[in-house]
Amino acid sequence: MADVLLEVKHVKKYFHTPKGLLHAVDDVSFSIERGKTLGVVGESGCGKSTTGRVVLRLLEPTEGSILMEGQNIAGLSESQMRSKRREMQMIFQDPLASLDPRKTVGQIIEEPLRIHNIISGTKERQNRVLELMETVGLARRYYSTYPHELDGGRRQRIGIARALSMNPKFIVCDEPVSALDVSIQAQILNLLEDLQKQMGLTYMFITHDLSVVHHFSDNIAVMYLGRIIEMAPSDELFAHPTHPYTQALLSAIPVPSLENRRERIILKGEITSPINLPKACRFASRCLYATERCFGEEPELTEIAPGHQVACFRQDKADAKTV
Amino acid sequence: MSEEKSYALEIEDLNVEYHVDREVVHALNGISFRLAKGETIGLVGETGAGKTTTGLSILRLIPSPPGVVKGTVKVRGEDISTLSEKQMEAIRGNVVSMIFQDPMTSLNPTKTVEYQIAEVIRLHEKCGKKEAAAKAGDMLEMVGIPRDRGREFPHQFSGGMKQRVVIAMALACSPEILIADEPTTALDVTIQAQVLDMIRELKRKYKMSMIMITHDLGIVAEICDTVAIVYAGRIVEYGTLEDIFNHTAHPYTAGLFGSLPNMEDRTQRLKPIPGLMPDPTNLPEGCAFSPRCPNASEKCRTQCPALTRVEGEHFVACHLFKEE
Amino acid sequence: MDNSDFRQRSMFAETWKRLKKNRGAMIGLVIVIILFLLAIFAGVIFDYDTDVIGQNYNELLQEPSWKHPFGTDEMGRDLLARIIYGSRASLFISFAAVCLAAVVGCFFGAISGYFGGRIDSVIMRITDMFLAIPETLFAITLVAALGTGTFTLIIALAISNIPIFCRLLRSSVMTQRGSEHIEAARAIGAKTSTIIWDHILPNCIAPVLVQFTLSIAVTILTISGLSFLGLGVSPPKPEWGALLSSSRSYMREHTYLTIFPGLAIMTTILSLNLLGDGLRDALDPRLR
Repeated sequence: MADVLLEVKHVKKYFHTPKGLLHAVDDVSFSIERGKTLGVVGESGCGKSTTGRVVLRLLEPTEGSILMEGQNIAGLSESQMRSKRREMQMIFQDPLASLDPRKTVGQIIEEPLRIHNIISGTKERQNRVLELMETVGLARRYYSTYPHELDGGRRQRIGIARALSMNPKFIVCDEPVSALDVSIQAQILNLLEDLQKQMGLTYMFITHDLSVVHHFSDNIAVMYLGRIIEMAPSDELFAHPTHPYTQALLSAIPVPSLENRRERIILKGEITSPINLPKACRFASRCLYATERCFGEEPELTEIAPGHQVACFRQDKADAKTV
Repeated sequence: MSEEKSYALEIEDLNVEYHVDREVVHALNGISFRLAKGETIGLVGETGAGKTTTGLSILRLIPSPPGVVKGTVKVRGEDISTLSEKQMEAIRGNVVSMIFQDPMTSLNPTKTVEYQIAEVIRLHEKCGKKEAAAKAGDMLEMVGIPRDRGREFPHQFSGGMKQRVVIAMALACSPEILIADEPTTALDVTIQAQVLDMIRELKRKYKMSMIMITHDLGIVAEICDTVAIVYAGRIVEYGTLEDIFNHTAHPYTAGLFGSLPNMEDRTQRLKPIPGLMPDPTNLPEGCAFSPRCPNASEKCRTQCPALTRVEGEHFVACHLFKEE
Repeated sequence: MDNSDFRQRSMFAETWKRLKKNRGAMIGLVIVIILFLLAIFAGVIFDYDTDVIGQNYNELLQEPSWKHPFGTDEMGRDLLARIIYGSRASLFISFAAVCLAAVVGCFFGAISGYFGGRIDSVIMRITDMFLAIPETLFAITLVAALGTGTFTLIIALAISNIPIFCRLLRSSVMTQRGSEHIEAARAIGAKTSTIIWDHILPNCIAPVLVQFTLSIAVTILTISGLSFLGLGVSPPKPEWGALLSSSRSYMREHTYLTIFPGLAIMTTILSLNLLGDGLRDALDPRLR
């Protein structure tokens, strides 16, 4: 039995909007083993960020359970949840927006230590902050600068240091590198990888960048309109993408090389809104292989190979088209 | 004479500075390249490298002051610095068009899409309202939007559709040169694929010359013929796709490739470029990349290397290369 | 480890440093301070009974001179003395009214903005009601009902300013509440009270301060207007608006009687506005 750290079961998150019920996350289940990384990919509006926030209960789930080391955190009270947050942290997409503009680097990293009373002495706390800054590669001279005075890469390091200050077990990374330049992106990804090894961290890595997710994750879940439509170990997913959407998504990556180009599958149309969904496969209207059944019934995730699950009625057809 | 004719655009030693608060931002420091008719050049670099400034200088849209522009930009063999503002207006949108990164801000939310495209047409071509509207409809169809959606407002369109509208606007007067500034960065991957596909198709059909400004080497590999790698306002490497991708010469270009995840082997560690882009108000002496370069020598820190030919049309600005 | 280099910069010191660089704001600040000092020490410079309200029929309507730099009024009272004493009423009433309005308004605004929902709707409808009544009209009604007097005036002016602060704070709290750094604060386990006090309010203070100075300026004008109508400060107590009002009949021959009180009002408002604008910029660490 694998050592499962986090297990999410049938989580749903609906929002009431003037147009109707918005199914942001619709019956999503997955689990992450200790020390591993689950990559969650999908296009804007697929519910990947909402899933990340629901897992941390920054948004309350409408339904479902979130088991952290066997304990259902969906049932915790507000104050119990607050102390549970020491174990579950988040790194945000926009490093500038997620840092209080009126606080200095030192104050930002120190705050969690104060809130949870992890270190009580002022001096000791300061030493711990400087130590954390060193861990994430921030020079000590930035201790009393403001985030807006620094560049994107350094800002993201502040966010990482803040998350690490509580020695968490699990971190949700919400597009942590998509606001950064390529060379800085690589610096931050390497840092996250090193931290994972050193501290045995478990990540949920949310991104729209497929080449990054492939590199960074052990397992990948592909989301479309609030659902996981395919989930598999990273290499397996890239070698045998089975859902037509996954295939199109993978084929759409612009490959920075003149050789081994993929044949591109151009999807018609765009992602529809997850409001008042009909009972049908959510991808059917854009799918190349959709049949009558796809429009009348919603496919469930089924296992087709060890660890490889897919929600599609037309796997046979899709299989034939190896990408 | 005949040789000059074949270039749609020639840029010679372009320098742009911004004078702000007693500081001088050196945005461009001597950029030169030529763009043949029907050719696509990719300007690749990171934030602040000067890619967008290059695009804006071609349209003479650098605000002055604070901007100071030196060097020549020739469009169809004509030096644009000698043109009057009126002549320049006739060039913008008509001969040279630019697509900006964010489609949301380039459209007027209070006017219908068709009206906005027709407006561009009427600005440059003598034609009636009806005729312009009809042509706007054609343009919409060309970018894959049904004609009757032209009477809708920008907010009724999705991001990808808006970018298509912006492209339709840019192409409305069949320009000879299209400057695309990160046209797909704000879009999702599958939509990006649709838009890139369309751009490629249109380029072929209308034999346009194009400048593709991007940070994504994947996009470059897909639509460009030649590539210029820009770092701190200078072209550090220039060549064909083959030259840049398979015979990389400049350590910065190599660093860019090293920063990308390897799709073949996901366990391979990324090799990022250490350090940061230099501050454009305070560029290092010598080669601007030398502080981040793993092989920088004393010479690199004192002398700025010039672009030298490697082979054929492949140029690189690096001392290390010459020494090899 | 030597940590002496890592002292935190205090918000106040930082703001002051940035404010000092703004010449307009510094001029405004100096004038405001001078005005306050004059108001406080008016009793030291002039004697209230003889200089301010004591009538002197030997020196009626005298032009400005060395003895009376601003001239004298129709009762032979020194105009300078009356303007300086008048600043007491104008500044005290407006500051008291606006402070009261700011505290009450911000309190309800913060609640309204942070919690939203039904509480928000109720508070907002009430403020809408008050906003619909013009400030002067409201003050006139209240003063007419409760009788003239400093206290009634403060209350009337405060009430009409509350909705402004309430709306202002509500909207900035709402923007702050939705911002990612608030979510980040929740993610590290901060309590609601910590979030409001440590993260939301410091980021909302700038517009409130600016509104504070603007409101004071407007309130001074309103007090002057009310006094002009005879509903403000009762004579012979001097007040800027009342001074303007009483000199109306002598305006043609003795222009100085209207110019000096008018200048006093203008200078005060101008310097408050300069200071307010400067403070807004200085309070934002992103602008240097």
